[in-house]
Amino acid sequence: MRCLALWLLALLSLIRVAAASETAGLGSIDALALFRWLDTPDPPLLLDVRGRKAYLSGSVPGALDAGKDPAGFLPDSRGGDVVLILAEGVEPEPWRERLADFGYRVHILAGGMGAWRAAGFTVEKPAEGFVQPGTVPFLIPRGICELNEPAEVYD
Amino acid sequence: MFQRRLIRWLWLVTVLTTGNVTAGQITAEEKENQPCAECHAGIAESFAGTRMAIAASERFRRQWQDRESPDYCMNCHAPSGGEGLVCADCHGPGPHPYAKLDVPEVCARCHDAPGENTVRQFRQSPAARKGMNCLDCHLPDKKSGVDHRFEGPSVSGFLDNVAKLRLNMRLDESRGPTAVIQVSHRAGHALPGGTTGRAVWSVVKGLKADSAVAWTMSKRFGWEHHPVQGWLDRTLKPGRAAVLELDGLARGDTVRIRAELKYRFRAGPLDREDPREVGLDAVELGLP
Repeated sequence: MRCLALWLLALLSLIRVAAASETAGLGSIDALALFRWLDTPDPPLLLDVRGRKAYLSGSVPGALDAGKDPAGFLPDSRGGDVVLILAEGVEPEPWRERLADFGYRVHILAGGMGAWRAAGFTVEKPAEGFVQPGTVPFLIPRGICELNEPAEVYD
Repeated sequence: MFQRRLIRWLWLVTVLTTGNVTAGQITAEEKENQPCAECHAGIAESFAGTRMAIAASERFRRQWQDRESPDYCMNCHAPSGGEGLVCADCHGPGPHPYAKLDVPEVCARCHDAPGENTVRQFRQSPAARKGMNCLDCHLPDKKSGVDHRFEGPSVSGFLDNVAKLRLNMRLDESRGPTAVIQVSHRAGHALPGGTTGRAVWSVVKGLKADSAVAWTMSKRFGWEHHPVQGWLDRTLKPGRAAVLELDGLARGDTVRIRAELKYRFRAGPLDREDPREVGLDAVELGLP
């Protein structure tokens, strides 16, 4: 009986160690690997979950501002791979659970934006590249290439 | 048997040493003066169906004259005259054997001309970093050496799976639900490639419970001409997703939103019909 109890205790410890190492390492991706992945025909979805201020101060090109609260983010149900850009010290688990419910495989950018910057990769300030319909007046020139449509200003 | 072999061998030596050929053969000079299609019928036939072969069609020339457009248009539309490109425009004047083409340099002469930056964008693309070139996508059977169809967006199915929309929603306390949209594509150059006359539109609609449209917001990706700043490149860059954020979604009894991505063969606004328009992607998401 005592032997069985010891055996169960040992098994439990093994399971705990395995779970802890899985949480720490599962889906973690370094900056170089992410850079290479983004350069493929099927890149992952990038979610910046550091909050608005941090996002606007500079993020990985193409990253979406998902806000800080996993419960306040509703993804489409297309699933696939997603890489999270976390603020320092933030636990990924609530995000992982939220996104897994919609069919996503979650990866974490190891070292966050600090590691991305340190690796020397491009940082985009979303406010500069932001596109909001209706905010940019533009004109279509008159010409053959435009099928002879008249010049117009859109706003 | 031996005699026949000997005769053939002697004939070959004679031809190679004197340049003389027997009846039915052609001289090098005759060869250069022959229309390419006489020997390369398959290539000529496949190229004849391309847009490049009719880049200076009668309709084009009429518009070009009516608009008093510059002569240099023809440097690309019909460098040798006629109704479009011909073999020598890309392959050079010869003689045989023709040098292997340097792709994409030979394409850049026209596809980086004013109003285009297709090859320039290609050089910065994941496709170029992988060692691909224009022909990998635009000449489907390039290994055959015969295929000259040069497929592009005009060919049905060519744009399948080329672009992808990701539609998400962020709940901001101050702004209400905000659509957070990512637009990405797999083209080896900017999208749309080609001339300023093409555009990709992102169209986001608010839908009511009965699927009636409550509102629409659209964004155009393509070349723009700003009254002060001149030409602006607002195309979708290769290997780099574009981000759109739209708020004010919960109005007009909207219960869900639908995002669509459209490829159009005309530069102008969406309310002008484009019979060749191609839907690239569409996705819906319910409002929380």
